[in-house]
Amino acid sequence: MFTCMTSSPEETGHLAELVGQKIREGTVLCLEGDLGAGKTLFVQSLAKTLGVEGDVTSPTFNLMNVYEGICRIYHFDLYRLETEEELDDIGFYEYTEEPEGIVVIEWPDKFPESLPDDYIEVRIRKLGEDSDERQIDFSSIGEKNQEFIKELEDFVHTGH
Amino acid sequence: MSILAIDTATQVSSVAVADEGRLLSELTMQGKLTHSETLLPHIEQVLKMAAVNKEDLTGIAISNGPGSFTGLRIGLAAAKAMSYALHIPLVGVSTLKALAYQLPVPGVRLMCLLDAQKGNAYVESYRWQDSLLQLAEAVKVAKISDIVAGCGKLNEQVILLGDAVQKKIVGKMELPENVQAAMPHLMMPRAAAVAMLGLRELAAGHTDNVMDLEPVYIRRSEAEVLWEKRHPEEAKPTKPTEEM
Repeated sequence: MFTCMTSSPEETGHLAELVGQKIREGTVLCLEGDLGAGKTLFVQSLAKTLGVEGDVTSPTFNLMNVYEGICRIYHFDLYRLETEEELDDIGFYEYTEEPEGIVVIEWPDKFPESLPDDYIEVRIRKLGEDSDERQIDFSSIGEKNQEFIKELEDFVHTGH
Repeated sequence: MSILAIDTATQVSSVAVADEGRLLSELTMQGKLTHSETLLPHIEQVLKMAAVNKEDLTGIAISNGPGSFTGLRIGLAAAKAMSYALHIPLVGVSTLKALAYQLPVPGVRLMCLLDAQKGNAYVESYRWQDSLLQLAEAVKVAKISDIVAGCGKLNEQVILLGDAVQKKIVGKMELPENVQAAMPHLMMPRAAAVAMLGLRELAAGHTDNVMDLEPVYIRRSEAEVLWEKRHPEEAKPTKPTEEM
């Protein structure tokens, strides 16, 4: 696990860009953080780095967006879901088990038992109510991404 | 009497045109494109290859699960729309039965496994007897590792079919001595088998209602879910604790 501090939306966006430069196909990224923490900004910046040209917004009502970049990006928002059965209804596991492309999940903490065995957790914390300061924690859940998270840590801290 | 058959229950996209005695055309692929992109162009193509106008179709057979939730809905939506617009009968065919129909081998148990995620499969088994396909054990959801172990205890040869075999078993699990996986080209669903089963159903006068035919979604019963909630120590919880 490693932590980054940012002090503006631009810096948070830049961090997401760095993640976008390193992320590998087949990765699931779970994005936690309160409303207004900057989750959507993070995904937008990540998607843009991956070559997505159109709009990127959280699929709070349509539950999943698919973007075409250098690979496909599946963007879930679980905020509105109430029961685990609804995950079946949207074919959630078909995308998150052995994923093709990149899967981004907002509000993953609503269904902790339904997440895949391997994923990268990104937790964005607001430091103070009206502050632009953010603490962003990256951790790897499961074995698969351990090495990647170390590489990513080096990359965001040293630039290579 | 030419019918169109569709199978999008797994990652395989398969469409076929057939009449009673012949498979006229079939297009089967397993690629990265999603069914929503491939299905309609493929239907157009198989009709063209078979030299059958869509107006001349006399029925549609759809593989209606169990299987991928999104895949099934894409296939069913297309089949229903065509059935409705062309005023021709629609018949749903079990994806599991269609798999077993591909391998008419007597003396073995055909174990059909479709991926149900989280290490589970929808499983149903069949035997061929007197040239007829007989159900051996009706569909249930079970852990794939338990299914394979269970096959090892059967006192007969077992052949495994279905996408769960391709995804979760071949090269990943040791198989008991009496169990083998079907060859790759026979393992996955094909619309040809759906067509042949569909033709028989239609000839027997069995049709489904275009307004209320639903994909077969098999879920754990309410009772099972409730039991696990009450006995969390004996079952891995499948629901977040903040609920209810």
